[in-house]
Amino acid sequence: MLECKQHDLVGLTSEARDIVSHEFDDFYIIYQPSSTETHVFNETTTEILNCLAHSSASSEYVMKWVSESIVSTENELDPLDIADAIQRLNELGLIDCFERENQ
Amino acid sequence: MSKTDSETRRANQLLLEAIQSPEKLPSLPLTDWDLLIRVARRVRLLGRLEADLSSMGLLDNIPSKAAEHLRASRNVIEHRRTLVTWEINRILWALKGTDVPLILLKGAAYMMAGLPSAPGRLFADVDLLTPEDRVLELEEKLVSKGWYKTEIDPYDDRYYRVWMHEIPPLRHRERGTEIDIHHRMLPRTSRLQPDPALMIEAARPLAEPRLCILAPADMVLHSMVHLFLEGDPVEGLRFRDLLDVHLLLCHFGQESGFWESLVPRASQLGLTRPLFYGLRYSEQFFSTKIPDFVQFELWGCKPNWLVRTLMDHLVPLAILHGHPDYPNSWASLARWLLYIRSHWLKMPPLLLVRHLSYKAYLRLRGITKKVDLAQLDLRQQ
Amino acid sequence: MRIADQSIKVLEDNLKNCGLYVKFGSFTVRIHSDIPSVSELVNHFYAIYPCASGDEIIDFHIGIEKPKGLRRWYRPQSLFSVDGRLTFQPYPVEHAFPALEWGINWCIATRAHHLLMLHSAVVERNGNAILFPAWPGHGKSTLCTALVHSGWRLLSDEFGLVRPEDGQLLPIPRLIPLKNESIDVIRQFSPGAIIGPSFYGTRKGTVAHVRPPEDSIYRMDEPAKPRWLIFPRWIANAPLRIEPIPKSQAFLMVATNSFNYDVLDQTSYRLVTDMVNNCDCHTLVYSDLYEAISAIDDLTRIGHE
Repeated sequence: MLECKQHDLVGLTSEARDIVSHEFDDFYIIYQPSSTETHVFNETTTEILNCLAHSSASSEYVMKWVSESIVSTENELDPLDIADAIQRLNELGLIDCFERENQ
Repeated sequence: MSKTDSETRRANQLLLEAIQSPEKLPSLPLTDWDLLIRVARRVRLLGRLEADLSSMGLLDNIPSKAAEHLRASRNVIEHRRTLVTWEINRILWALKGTDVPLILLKGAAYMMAGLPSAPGRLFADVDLLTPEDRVLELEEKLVSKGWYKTEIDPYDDRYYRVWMHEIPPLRHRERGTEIDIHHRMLPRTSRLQPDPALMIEAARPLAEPRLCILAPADMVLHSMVHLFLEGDPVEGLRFRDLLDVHLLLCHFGQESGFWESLVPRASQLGLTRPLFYGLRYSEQFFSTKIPDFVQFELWGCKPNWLVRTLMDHLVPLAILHGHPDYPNSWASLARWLLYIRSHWLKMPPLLLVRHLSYKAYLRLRGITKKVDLAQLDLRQQ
Repeated sequence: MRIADQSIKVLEDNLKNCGLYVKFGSFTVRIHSDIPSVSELVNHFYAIYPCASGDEIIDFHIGIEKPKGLRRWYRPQSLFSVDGRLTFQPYPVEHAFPALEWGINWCIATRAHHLLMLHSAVVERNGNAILFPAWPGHGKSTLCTALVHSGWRLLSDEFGLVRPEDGQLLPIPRLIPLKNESIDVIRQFSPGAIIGPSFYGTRKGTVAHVRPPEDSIYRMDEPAKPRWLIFPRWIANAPLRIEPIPKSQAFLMVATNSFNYDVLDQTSYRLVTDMVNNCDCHTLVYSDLYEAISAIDDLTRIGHE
C-alpha cells in the first residue's frame, strides 16, 4: 500500500473540503460527495481532518496535535492508531501525502 | 397492415421523435407517455430524455408521473457518473509517479471531455486504452493499491487472455466500479485490425494531462466499431450507441478538417466498412448532416448490393424494439443474425463455433442469469 | 372505482386481454394473466383496491402467464414478465400468485429510485409512524401484521418509502406475506384477519398472504411522519426487552438496510440523518406478540405526550 512516512507532508485534498459531517453520540457520520461514500469516523480521525483544515503539516506534527487535542482520561492514544487513521484517510482520498523535498 | 406492424411503427416513431424533438414532449398525451417510457427504458434512453428536458427547462411541463420515472433514471445515472469520476480520480492516485499512457474510451471519455453524448448516458465502468507492453505494469500497480482481478471462470479467463483486446476487469476491493483495460480496439482474432499504436499516438490530452482521449476521427470510428461489432444477441444493435455516433458526428463535424480526415483515417486503420454503416444508419435514423464529398469518398468501400440490402433490412429491425406488448419475431431473428455477424467478423469460423456453442451450452444448462424473485435479496439490486 | 365493482367475468377477461389496472399507493400496475388461480386470488385479495383507468401512465406493465408451447401441458409453469421481458426464473403454476406479489416488489425495488427505499415495515397512528427496519427472519412481518390488527394503520410491510422533498413516508399497503409458523401465530392472534391459502414448498417455505385492513387500503394516499425507529428481533422464549440505542448505531442500521441508500447519494444521507434525529430509536427483542404490542403502545404513548 501507499505509505505516508513519518516525515511526509500531509494535506487535505480538495474533495475533503466538500465533506458533510453530522455528530451522533461520540461518532461522526461523514458523507463524501466525491465518492458517494458514507463513513463513520471516531474522534481521532475527525481531529486529523480538523488539524489539517487550515494548512498542511508533517505527519509527526499531526500526531502530536491530535494526541494533545483529545482529552482522553481513560487511556493514552496509541500513535499507531493515528498513523493508521492517516493511512486510511489517504486511501479514501481525503488527504494527500507528499514527500518532503530534501533541503 | 397487422396490429403488430402498426404498433411497432407507433412505438418506434414515438422514440425517434422524442429523441429528435424533445421540446415537443410537453404536449404528448398520457397514453403516449406511457408507451414512450417503456420503449425508452428498453433502450436505456430515459436518462437522455431527462437530460434534454432539463436543459430546456421543461421538466415541470410534463406529467408528474413521467417526471418521476425520468427522475428515478436520472438519480441512477448521476450516481454512476460520480462513481466513474471517482474511480478515475483513484486510478490517477494509484498511478502517481508512473507514466503509463491512459486513454479513456467510450462513456468515461465522453464524460471527462464534456462531449454532448455524455448527458443522460448510463455509465457502467471505466474503459482504458494503453499500449500492450504497458498493460502488465498498469495491472500490477493497481493490484498493489487495492484493486483485484475479478474472478471469472477459466474458460472466460483464457478467452480474454488469448483472444481478446482487453484483460479481465479489475475492481477495487471497496468499490463496485470495474476497470476494463484495453490494448486494442478489437480482439486479436478479428478480421479488422486497426493499429492501436496509431490511435494512441494521435490521442489528445485532457485538462488533467495524465488523461487522454482519442482524436476526433478515431473516437468516431471507435464508436462505430463498438456499435457494429460488440453486439448482444438479445439487445441487438444498441440504439443508444448509434445515438452516440450521431452526437459525436454533429459535435466534431464543426471542427475544421474533421470531415476531410475521416475517410483517409478510416482507410489507414482499415475501418471503412464500419464507417460506411455508421454514417448510413446515423443519417437514416437521425438525419445526420454528412458532407457529400464524404459519401463520395466512401462510395468505393461500400459493401455489395446483396449485403447492403440485407443490412438495410436487419438493422432497423434490430435497433428499435417496437411495442413491448406486440413482440415482433423477425426482430429477434434480426438481432440474433447481427450478433452472429459481429462474432463472424471478430473470430475465425472454428473459434466462433466453439465460442457460440459454449455460450449455447451455458444457456441449455440454464446458466444465463435469470432472476429468482423469491430468493432475490432486493437490496443487492 | 374499485376492483370489486366489476364482475369476476370482466376481471378475468381484463386479465387475459387488455390487462387489469390496480393502484398500490402511488404506484399503478397493469397485470396480465391467463392463469385461473391468479384471477381467483386477485379477485379475492384486490377487491377493495382502487382501479386505474387505461389512459394514464402506468408504472409497471407486468404479466404472470403460462409459457407458450408444450410446456403448458407438461408440468405447467408460470412466468413473470415486465414489459414483455422474461428475465425471471419460472415458478410452478401453483405458485403463480406469490410470484406475482414478489414480482411487483421487485419492480418497485429496482425502479423507484425517485424515492429513498428503506427495507422496513411502517405503521402509523395519529399521523406518527414507526419504522421497523429489519433483516429477513427477524419477525418484522409478524409484528407488523399484529400491529395493523390492533389499531395501527399499515403503510407497508416491506418498503419504507421516503419522499425526498419532505422526508414523509409514503404508504404502499400491499399484501403481507407470512412465512411458516407465523401463519398460525397470526390466525390465533387475530381471527378476523383476511388470510389467503397457504402455498407449500415455495423457495421461501410455506407462504400465506394477509390482506391489510380496509382502513389502510382506503387511506393509501395519506403519508405519515417518521417518529420512532424500532429494530425488532423475534427470539424464541426470550423475555421482552425494549431499549434505547445510540443514534449513530440507528443511522448505520437504517442505511445498511436500504434498497437504494447508495443510489441517491447525498439525498439519502440527508434523509436518514433527519429521520434518525427526529425519531426515538429502540431495539425490541420479543417472543410474545401481546407483550410486544403493549410495550410498543406504552413507548409510543409516552413518546407522543
